[in-house]
Amino acid sequence: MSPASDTGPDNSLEALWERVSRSAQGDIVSDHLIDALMRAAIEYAGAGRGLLILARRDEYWIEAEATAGGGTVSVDLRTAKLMATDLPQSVLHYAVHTKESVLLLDTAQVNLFCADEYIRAHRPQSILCLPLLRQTGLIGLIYLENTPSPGALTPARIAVIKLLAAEAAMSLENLHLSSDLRERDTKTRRIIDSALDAVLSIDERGRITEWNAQAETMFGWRRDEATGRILSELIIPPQYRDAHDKGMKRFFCTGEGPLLNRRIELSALRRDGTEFPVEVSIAPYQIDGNWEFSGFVRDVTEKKSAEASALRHREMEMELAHANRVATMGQLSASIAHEVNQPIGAAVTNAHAAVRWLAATPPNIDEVHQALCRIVTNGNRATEVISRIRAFIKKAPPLKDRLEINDAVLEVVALTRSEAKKNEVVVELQLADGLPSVQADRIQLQQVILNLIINAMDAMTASSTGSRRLLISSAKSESNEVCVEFRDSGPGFPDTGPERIFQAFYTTKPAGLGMGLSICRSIIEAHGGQLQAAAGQPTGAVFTFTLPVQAGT
Amino acid sequence: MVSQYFISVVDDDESFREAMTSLMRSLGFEVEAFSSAEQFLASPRLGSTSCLIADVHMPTMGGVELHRQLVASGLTIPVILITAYPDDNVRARALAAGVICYLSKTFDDEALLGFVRSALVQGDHGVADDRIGVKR
Repeated sequence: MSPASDTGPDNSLEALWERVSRSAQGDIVSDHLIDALMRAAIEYAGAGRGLLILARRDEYWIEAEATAGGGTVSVDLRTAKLMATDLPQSVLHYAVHTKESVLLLDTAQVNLFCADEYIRAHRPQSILCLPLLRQTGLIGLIYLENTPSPGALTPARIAVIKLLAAEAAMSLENLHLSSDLRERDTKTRRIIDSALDAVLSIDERGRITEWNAQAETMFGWRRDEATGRILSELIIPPQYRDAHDKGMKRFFCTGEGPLLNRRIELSALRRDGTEFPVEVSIAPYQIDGNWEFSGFVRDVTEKKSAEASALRHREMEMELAHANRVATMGQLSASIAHEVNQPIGAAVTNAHAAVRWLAATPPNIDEVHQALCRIVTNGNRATEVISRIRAFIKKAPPLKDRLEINDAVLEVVALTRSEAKKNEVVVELQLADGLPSVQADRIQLQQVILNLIINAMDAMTASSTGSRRLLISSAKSESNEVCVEFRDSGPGFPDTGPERIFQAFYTTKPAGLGMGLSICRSIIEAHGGQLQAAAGQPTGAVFTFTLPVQAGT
Repeated sequence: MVSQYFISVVDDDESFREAMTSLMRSLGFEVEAFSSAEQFLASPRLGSTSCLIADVHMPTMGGVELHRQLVASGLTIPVILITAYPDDNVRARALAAGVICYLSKTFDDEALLGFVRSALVQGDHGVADDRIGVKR
């Protein structure tokens, strides 16, 4: 490949090529290369002016403008939108549409483009417009004008310029591709760095290959410090490093990793040696046949401490509820003793009777038999009362189970029967038949029922006026809830209104702690229901709690 | 034991009522049981009762009040109070009001028998019986 003729040693094709190739080396392809190419093209073509035009979407932009004058060539690497005043538009359009070069050796002669405004205005003597073609299509054009003599642009020279143009096109395309890649890389980098999680990756040997800004903050190692270090030595607490290494080995042997592709909770190590809880997801991927692992790490210290305090809160609530049950049982101890003594007393009395019947002459075996049967019943009843109380004061985590609200009410009423009797309170029941089941912890629910019964009794006992009557009724509400109502004939609420009584430490009782009702309300609310108080008519208080019906009943 | 004595038992607790009725019958007494004070007061047996055994705690009227009403209406039926929940204050008040005794429901049957005899003697207005020993 050699030009048909030379204009001088400096412009030999070899020299040109060397200049161009030199410029094309290294990273900064762009500006030097374009500069060199433009110079070469201008000099080789002997042109007065040249433009390098690039297509961007449907627009054309000038990337470089070269002008020859006074024996030198100046190249202006400006980027500007191509205007009608820069070159003949008709020439441009022709080259763009046909993807063929346009060569006008003498514009004064009649040609396709003689009507072009630019040509008429500037009267360039000659014009060469070369489309820069790549596989992707037209990426730009080189436009040269004003060759000194019509004969300067021989086919051989044009061929050389085409070659230069092809080189320019290829370089520019690479430039664009790499600038696209850089842009994409920058974008990815920004996304990774703006992530709230620490994002990191390691290669097959466990060396860190990626370390984002959040990782720097979270672990205390800068990217340049972390990159290339062994991950497990940097952020995995010593006691887990073995497991990590084994896990990696196992992955390479079996392709399996129990910790991969899911969110797991681990402990991580900061630069200062402190450990902290993290949520990690690790995913393996392959690049050029080599495994890498990406990790997304989230610091869950705050979440953990919130969980811990929620747990403490629940534990405290449970303690309080238990304390309330024990206290209530304490208050009821006399009545409970009565409740247990009743069947025991009956058993003892029956035993006395049996002894007497046996000692009679003749012994009355039938009476003895009846007395013994009654003793069995009495004993069972005492046991029942005791086991109910034991269950009640046992400290156990809440266990929600399907239960019938009426049964729960009846058991508590039985437990408080003696207390009612002692306080001369008549307890009436109006329990609706066929109520749907509820999902509740029996003990907690009975604690609420017990508190409400005791409160009603206390209120009625404190006021000496009128009859003492507690009506407990159950029903199904319109909103598909089960509700239980406790209507007493006591003095009702103080002027502060019913809501006040639910506040912790509010009490009207000399020995009361004032926690009962607030505990009751939190229990009911924890069951998805509501506990409310209202004034009764004409007097007294009405407490109502609702519970959602268990699905499917 | 003589059987012309008629004993009434008043207790709202059915199991104890049954037990006491059986015990009294085993001792040779004629017995009738009532589940409330009101029921007893309305009963024709009110006048013929030689001794009343009543529970202290009952929903509408307890044994102490029942005794008070009997005294108030001039009926001198000897009353034995029985309770599953002994209380010293109630005992003191009841004894002061003139009941024969105030017993726990897990009583000693000899003691109860003693009090019943004592009650019957009291009912017979001065008929002494040496065998009656008041013990508790």
